[in-house]
Amino acid sequence: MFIEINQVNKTYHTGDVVFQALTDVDFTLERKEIGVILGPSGSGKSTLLNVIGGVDSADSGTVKIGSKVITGMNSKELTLYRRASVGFIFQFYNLIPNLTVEENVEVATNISAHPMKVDDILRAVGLTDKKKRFPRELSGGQQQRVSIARAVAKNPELLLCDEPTGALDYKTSKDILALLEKINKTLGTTILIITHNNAISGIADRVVRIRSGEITESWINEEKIPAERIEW
Amino acid sequence: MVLNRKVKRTMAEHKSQYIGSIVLIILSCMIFTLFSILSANLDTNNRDFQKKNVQENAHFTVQKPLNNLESLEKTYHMRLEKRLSFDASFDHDTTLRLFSPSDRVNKPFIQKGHAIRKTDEILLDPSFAKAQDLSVGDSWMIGDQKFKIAGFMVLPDYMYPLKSESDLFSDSKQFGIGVISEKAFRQLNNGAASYSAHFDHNADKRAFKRAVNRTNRVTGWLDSTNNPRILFVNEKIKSIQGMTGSLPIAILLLTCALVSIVLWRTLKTEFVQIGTLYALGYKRREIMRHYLSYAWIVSFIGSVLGTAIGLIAVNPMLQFFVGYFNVPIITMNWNPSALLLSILLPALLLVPVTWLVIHRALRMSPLELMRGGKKKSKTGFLERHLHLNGLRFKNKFRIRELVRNVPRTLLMVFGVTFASMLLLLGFGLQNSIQFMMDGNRDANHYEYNYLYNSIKTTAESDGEAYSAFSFAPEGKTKNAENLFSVYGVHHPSDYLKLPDSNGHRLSLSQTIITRPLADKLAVHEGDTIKVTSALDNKKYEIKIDKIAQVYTGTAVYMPIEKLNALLDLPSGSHNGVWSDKKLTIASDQLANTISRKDTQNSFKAMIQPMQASIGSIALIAFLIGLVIVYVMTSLIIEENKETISMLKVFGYKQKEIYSLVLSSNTLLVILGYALSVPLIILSLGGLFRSFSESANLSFPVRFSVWSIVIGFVIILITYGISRYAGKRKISHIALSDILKSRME
Repeated sequence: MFIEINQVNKTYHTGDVVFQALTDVDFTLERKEIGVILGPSGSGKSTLLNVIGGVDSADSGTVKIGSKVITGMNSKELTLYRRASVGFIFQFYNLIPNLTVEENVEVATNISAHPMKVDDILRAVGLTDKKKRFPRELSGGQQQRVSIARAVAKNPELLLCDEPTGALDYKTSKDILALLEKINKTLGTTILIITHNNAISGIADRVVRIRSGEITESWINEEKIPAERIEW
Repeated sequence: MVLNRKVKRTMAEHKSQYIGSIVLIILSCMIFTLFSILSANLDTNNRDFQKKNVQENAHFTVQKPLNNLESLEKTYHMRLEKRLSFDASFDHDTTLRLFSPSDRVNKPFIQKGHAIRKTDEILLDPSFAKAQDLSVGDSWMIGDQKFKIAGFMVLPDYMYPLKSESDLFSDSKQFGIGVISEKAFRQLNNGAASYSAHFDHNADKRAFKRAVNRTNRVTGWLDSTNNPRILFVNEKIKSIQGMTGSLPIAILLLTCALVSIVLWRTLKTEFVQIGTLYALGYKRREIMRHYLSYAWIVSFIGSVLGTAIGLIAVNPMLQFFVGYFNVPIITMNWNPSALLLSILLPALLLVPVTWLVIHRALRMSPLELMRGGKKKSKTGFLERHLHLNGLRFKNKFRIRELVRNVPRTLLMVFGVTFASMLLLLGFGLQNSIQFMMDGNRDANHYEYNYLYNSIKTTAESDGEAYSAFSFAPEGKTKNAENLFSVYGVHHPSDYLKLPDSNGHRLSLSQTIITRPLADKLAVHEGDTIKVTSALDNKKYEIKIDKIAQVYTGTAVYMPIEKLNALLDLPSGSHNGVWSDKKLTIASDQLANTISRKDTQNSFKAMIQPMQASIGSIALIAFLIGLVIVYVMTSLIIEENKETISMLKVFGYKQKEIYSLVLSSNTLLVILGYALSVPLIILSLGGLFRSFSESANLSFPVRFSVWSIVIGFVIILITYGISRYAGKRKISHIALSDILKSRME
């Protein structure tokens, strides 16, 4: 397995209030697969993604990505892990407003040991003609494409997508999902998507449903369908 | 209003910006209050003292004593008083100039103790007493007589106690003045006579001088407008008044710009909240009132604290200045209008600016505001036209960061420039004075300079005789009243070496003018100047052959025999001697004695307080620089919080993030400092030019490489501290910030 999560627990303490975000979570994903974590707001799906991405830490349990056990890593080791292995895609794109499209992608290539060529990625996401534009001059879908290009540019093993279509309309959302599928197929990147949209699970190899920090369902999707065909 | 609870919390959240702004207001109000009260007190007390204690309009010496003082007073509408003086040795290196009591002109102001009642009592000037650690009631010997200090006093014609009129700086450790009774003078059997004159408005000074010259001969004459002991005090007070106006206002304007940017940025982050309040039914007026309270709070905390600190600092500062030149503080004036202005001015500047900023925000609809305000859809000209291809990513990022917010970038540069100029002002003054003094030492090679109080015709057995007479330029020159000296010197001279602009020694067989006087009279080599003798009002013409490149002294040098012939004096006439060893000359024959050591010591004494004030100016500059860079850095970090968080998520190391986010400021700090160097040279040049018009100096602006390097190091340290604080801020930004936010 590429991702192996065993008995992961996470609790947040805010003053006297204790909030159990993850309870005994088990989850696996094979290399080059697309995984989808489904769940409503506050279910703990973002916490799980953050723990996998090395942005947050688990209180107990183990998280193994490839050959690396990231639970127990210190912050410097986690930085190096994120730098080498993980690409992030955010719901609201989080592009740097005063950098052009091309420069936003360079944010990632700048720190990568084996980056892809910026022009190649921009061509792949269909933004070659927009590379000198600033984010504010692009539509939401175009901005998310830049965000994907930036995440893929450093050629990561794992792409973590936090509600990648959450801020987009139906048509654009399908385009973005198709792009992720294409990346998975052509580059062999393992992709983990979190979403509250059940329909997106159609493109996944594996799906888990999470509620109040617990995995309530987990299945292998035998009837995987291409992004263009999913409906909601 | 419940909304007001938010104010404190928001300020605590962005404390670096708000505290920084408050510190800047404190600094400007402190300086404003301090200098306003200081200059008001120095100015009014100076005027009152000059008037009440009948400051002289002129003093003079004559060949034979004047016996008809009363009739001269009546005829020429003046007050006239004879005064005896002689220089006593206080100790090995220190001279105490003793005067007989005066009660018509230059009346002493008793600052402490009482007037002289007995023969063995003495009044001393307070700065001398302080320097020598003497108190009222102490006793010591002058010659074989014991004197007891009855009190401390200030003489109106010795407010800046210079030993010689040609001195530039006073030194209380080396020289002081005292008053003893006439009986004590007779017992000491010593003292040369001079006359102090105070003319009424309708008096004819020239007629008086002519009358004296008919039966006698005026051997020395100095108007109060040319008397550095009086002039320097007036000039210094004027310069303090100048500072009161410009410096704190400049700091305040800078603060105003800074705080308005801080408020605008903070407001921008609150657009959603403003929109929500609007949608909830809050009125514009209520929202406006709430946000204006930030400006009120920052202004009043800063101004009240700054004014209070300024008030506390007034007394020690006043004592410092009063010790520097003797202006007696007759009545203390707390200048309530300046205090009120100091408290209100920051608010008067900041509140309208903040009002404009909020007004602009409130023009948007609640919906627009709730969506985070109007999205910037146009790309700025600079951003659009910057071609950064080929540059490394790091550099592109930094340049974009600078171009992103031009006002912020400019404010950072101007802030650093301003702080650096303040810092370099002190260094420039010190370097330039040092350079000027070195030039003076290079020209004068005597150890002792004796000036007689009458003209001698017998040859000197030791030393080199010279003559010095005062003249006034004729015609409509810029400073028609300013006297200068014409020296008659031997050629070649062992004691005077005048260089030309190339540093070559000029032959003293020619008539040579000093650079400060040439500048003042707008004279070139080959010109002829028309002058009037200050002693007998006769008119002369002097042809100038060369200009000497010296920076102190307004003088003309010509061969002594040529001067004697011009003034119709017998051959061999002179009234001074330069010598490389101490000569035995009776003190009643001397107008004054200057030793090279005295000049050097007084220079050192002048430099010491200057170093102290350079230190305090440097500290203020350091603080201003620190606050500005810190506030700007904090602002950049606040604005880039999400970018920083995202860079962390992507796996950027702390060091790489510091380099990306903070390093763009390095360039601005260097640019700000680089700009300050030519600007301070220009400003000092202007300052020195205005100074040379009132004093007998021609200041060249000089900066040693070391001063510029040290100034740069100090500015870099301020930047380093801000950077360190910035790094701490960056390290505290959580990775999760980006996961909760929407950036673009």
